[in-house]
Amino acid sequence: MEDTIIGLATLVGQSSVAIIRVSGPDSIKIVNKIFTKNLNKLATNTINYGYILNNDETIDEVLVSIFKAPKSYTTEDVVEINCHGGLTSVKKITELLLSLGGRMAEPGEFTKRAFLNGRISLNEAEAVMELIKSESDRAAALALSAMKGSLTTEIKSIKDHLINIISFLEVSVDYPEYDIDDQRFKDIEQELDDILFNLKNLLDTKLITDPLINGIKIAIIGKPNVGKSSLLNKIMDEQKAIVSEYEGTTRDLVEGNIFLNGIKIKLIDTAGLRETEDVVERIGIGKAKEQLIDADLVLYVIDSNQNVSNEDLLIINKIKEKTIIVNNKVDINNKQSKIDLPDYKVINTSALTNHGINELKKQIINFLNLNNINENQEYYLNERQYLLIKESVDILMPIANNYSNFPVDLQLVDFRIVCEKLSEITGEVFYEDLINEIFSNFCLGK
Amino acid sequence: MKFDIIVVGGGHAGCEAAAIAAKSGKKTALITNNIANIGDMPCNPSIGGSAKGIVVREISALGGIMAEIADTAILQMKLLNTKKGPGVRSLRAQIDKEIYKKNMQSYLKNLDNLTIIEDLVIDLLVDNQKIIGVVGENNNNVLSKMVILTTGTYLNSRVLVGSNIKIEGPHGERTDFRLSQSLIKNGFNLQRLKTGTPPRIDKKSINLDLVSEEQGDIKKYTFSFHKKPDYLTDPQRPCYLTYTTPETKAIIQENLQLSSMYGGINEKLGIGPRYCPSIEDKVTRFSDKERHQLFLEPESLAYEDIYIQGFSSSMPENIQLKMVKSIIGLEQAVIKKYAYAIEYDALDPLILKTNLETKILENLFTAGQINGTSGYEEAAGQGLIAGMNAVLKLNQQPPIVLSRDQAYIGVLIDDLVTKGTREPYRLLTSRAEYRLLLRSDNADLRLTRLAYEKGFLPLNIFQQLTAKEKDIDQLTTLLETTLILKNQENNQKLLSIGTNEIREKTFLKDIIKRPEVDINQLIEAFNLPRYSDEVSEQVAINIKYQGYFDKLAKEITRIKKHELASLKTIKDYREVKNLASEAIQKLNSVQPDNLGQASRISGVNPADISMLLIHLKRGKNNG
Repeated sequence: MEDTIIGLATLVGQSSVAIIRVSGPDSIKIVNKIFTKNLNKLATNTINYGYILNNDETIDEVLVSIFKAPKSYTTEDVVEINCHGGLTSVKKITELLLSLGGRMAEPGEFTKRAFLNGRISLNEAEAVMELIKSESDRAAALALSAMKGSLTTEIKSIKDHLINIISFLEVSVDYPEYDIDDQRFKDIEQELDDILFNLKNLLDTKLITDPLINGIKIAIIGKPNVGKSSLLNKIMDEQKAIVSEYEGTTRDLVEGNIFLNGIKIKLIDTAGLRETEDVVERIGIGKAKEQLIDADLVLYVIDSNQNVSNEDLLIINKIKEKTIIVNNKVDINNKQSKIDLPDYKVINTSALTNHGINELKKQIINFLNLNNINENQEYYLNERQYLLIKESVDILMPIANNYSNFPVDLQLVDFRIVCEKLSEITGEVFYEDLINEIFSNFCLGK
Repeated sequence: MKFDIIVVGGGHAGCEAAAIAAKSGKKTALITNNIANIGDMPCNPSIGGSAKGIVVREISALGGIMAEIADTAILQMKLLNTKKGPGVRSLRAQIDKEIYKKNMQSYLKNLDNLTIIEDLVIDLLVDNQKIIGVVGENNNNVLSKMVILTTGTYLNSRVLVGSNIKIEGPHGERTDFRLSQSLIKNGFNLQRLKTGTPPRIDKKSINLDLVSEEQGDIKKYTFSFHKKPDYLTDPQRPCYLTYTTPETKAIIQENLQLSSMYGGINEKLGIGPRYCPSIEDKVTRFSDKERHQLFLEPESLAYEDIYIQGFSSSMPENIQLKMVKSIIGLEQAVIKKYAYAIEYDALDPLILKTNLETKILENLFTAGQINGTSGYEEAAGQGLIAGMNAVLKLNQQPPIVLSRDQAYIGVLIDDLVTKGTREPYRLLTSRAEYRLLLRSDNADLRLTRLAYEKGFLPLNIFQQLTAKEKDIDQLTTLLETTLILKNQENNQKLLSIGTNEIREKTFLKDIIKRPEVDINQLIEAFNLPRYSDEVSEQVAINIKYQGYFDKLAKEITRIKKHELASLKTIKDYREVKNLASEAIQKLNSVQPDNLGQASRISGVNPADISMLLIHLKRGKNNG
């Protein structure tokens, strides 16, 4: 890592402070040429007040932080110039630095150096990325815990166990006449089950944490005048207090985001299809179809006084595992309306009388597992990590299912492949193209 | 006297090198300081074992001689790991040492082109960084175009028994320091290694009632391909299994300070083999183990010596006697030869190129324990390759460099020249990442063609190979294309061979895939044409393991891309941007051929490999 790189660590645009970060062997030397204090005489991890000068011209009044190697983000010498925000100052200082021997950093290059220099593991680096992107408290909390390396620890523990099994089997292979612990052979079957259990648990967390990171989508569909709007108002009404806490959430309740338990919920309204009465026709319009497929939960609202049309059933049949039928307006007949749809969860409601609303909310929370998402959710998996764990599970399952017939030489091949995959998750093993791709998703300056 | 190739040392490496050189028509000299000791097995009276047994098969497939000589001297034979899958199965035989030596010597004596000279080599003749011959003690200069050093554990050796230090080679043979001096003078760095051997006891003094008998396998095998088994005795000779006792442990612990290796008596402590530890090592490192397993192995039909496997030691003789007598069944044991540790000079194999030629002196090759390995089979494998490459260099042809997915010998040599070794290196199956491909059953299919094409095997051997390949092909095609219909007769047959019925018409190949199905039984039940056992075994393994071979093939392709990325254009690694300083130092020292080899050097990290890749890519763009 010979070059000295320069990046803007804060967003481009108008803000009161901007941070320009410089990392590399010449960072102190370069900044020293333009800063009024001598960085070589300053202690590491200090913030120092001064000016940036271009010969005699004063460019800006600044605070300069100095981090001497290896006690810095990248483990190289790092200097951060906190200057006034806005384009002018940033541009002038950056140009000055470039002219003195630095070069612009590539996207994510600072974090890439932190990783390549061994200061953080790969998934900790990915977590930094997630933290920057996170839009909700819960997502942020997860990213922070990932940065602390809890996933790395869990993966490492599983991997260590597997390595232990591999070692035992390898000894039995290379020293076949050695008096080895025969009992262990029988125990391995159980140990394998334990490993699979732990891996599958990790997979399950994705189901829980995905919504935290990406937000949950609920699609509400139904013919006009079945009472969708009033129903929605009733559901969201109780949350109004929470809703209004966050600035920027729209009051158009059938479109937009609300935050529930610190979790972002996105409501998708297909009311745009209100124009035609025929559901089939509406669904035929591709966009709506996509939204239904995309949704984590579909609330299909019907008027209890009307029959469920066959066309309607055709559509929701395809997504029945994630559909709740909301049988609204039961107040009119003043009876429990019977719907003969055993495959579906049906809730009888009346937006008017509040009947069934609590039940409906409970069902939404249950269905989306919102209660299980507790404060202590430790890890989250991104797509890359999820796939690696899933592949590991797929490899280990056939062995666990037919253990007594599965020859040891093949077991060892598979166990080693799984170890390699687990190492890829934490970044102990990585392939060049992968690294470039991960880090290019970063914005500049971090 | 001028030769094409001189081999110095008549151990397992030397015999292979000399034999292949002479058989290739090169005027060869084997110089040893004791002709009667050629082919000696100084330690374990066995050949083979996990991974090592496969090396012996590879030697046979390539045209070496260890396998065929071993086959003439078998006292007992076993196939190891039979239940763990073909990927780790391996042969191991108890060998009659005297018969092995006798047959090896007579084989070599009968070779045209080979001159056996009894002399002690004390110096190298060098001209302009090229070797041109050796100097014998009797003041004879022997000139040669190529020289292969296979001096084993005889360089500057010391034999240690308690505080007793003798300047001696194994079993009282001569040792000398002058060749070591010559190597140092020529710029080689030597390292000091040690190994040990256990005591030998008189068979008659064993209480056979207290130990358990271990028999050889009922099914008979040979190391060589295309040979019929012909053991020395019928029934095979047994070995005996016994154990140390808490008393043994106590004696050792109380007297540890008297042991040469532990007692601090020996200041020039050489580094011992981790995988063949002395009994003192075992008791110290595994101090909570109450007992250690030992095997009592016959050494020869000609005498009553029994080798105590697992009990090497450097304790004083009187302590050894106490230790031996505390072993179950050996209470009345009579020691015929005492155990000892032996220290010797060796080279760091990082100074070797991938063809086993040294980087320092051109035309000088080294093979065997001088390169820091332990084991007869490891030595023989290197000796064979060094001999072949000396011949090929004389013929101005490119060398044989076996890759890690081709042979255990390839894994061995790659490990040595890329990673070096600081303790005696022993082959284990776990060192081979493609172990599943490097099997005992397919050594000929992997290597015979190569050896033939390079001129090391006669046509008739090659024809045997092609005939076998053809049979394998035919049987495989038959199984892949034959459908059996779902009917009562077929289902009955399937049940009779221990597998389930089929519900629809099925290819025979898919029946073979079932783990419980044995191919020979299937062939019998369905009246298919018979082939030899090796052929049907091979076909079955290929079918059953196909999925895994595919997995490995993908992996190999990915690695091969790195192997193909040549680094020969880089002379000084300081010119590559962003390399860690340790990587620069290691890369400059090893000078790897390609990126794949570079990635295996210790101290070179994935990040460094990335930098090398970028450097190579940039070079392509500019070039």
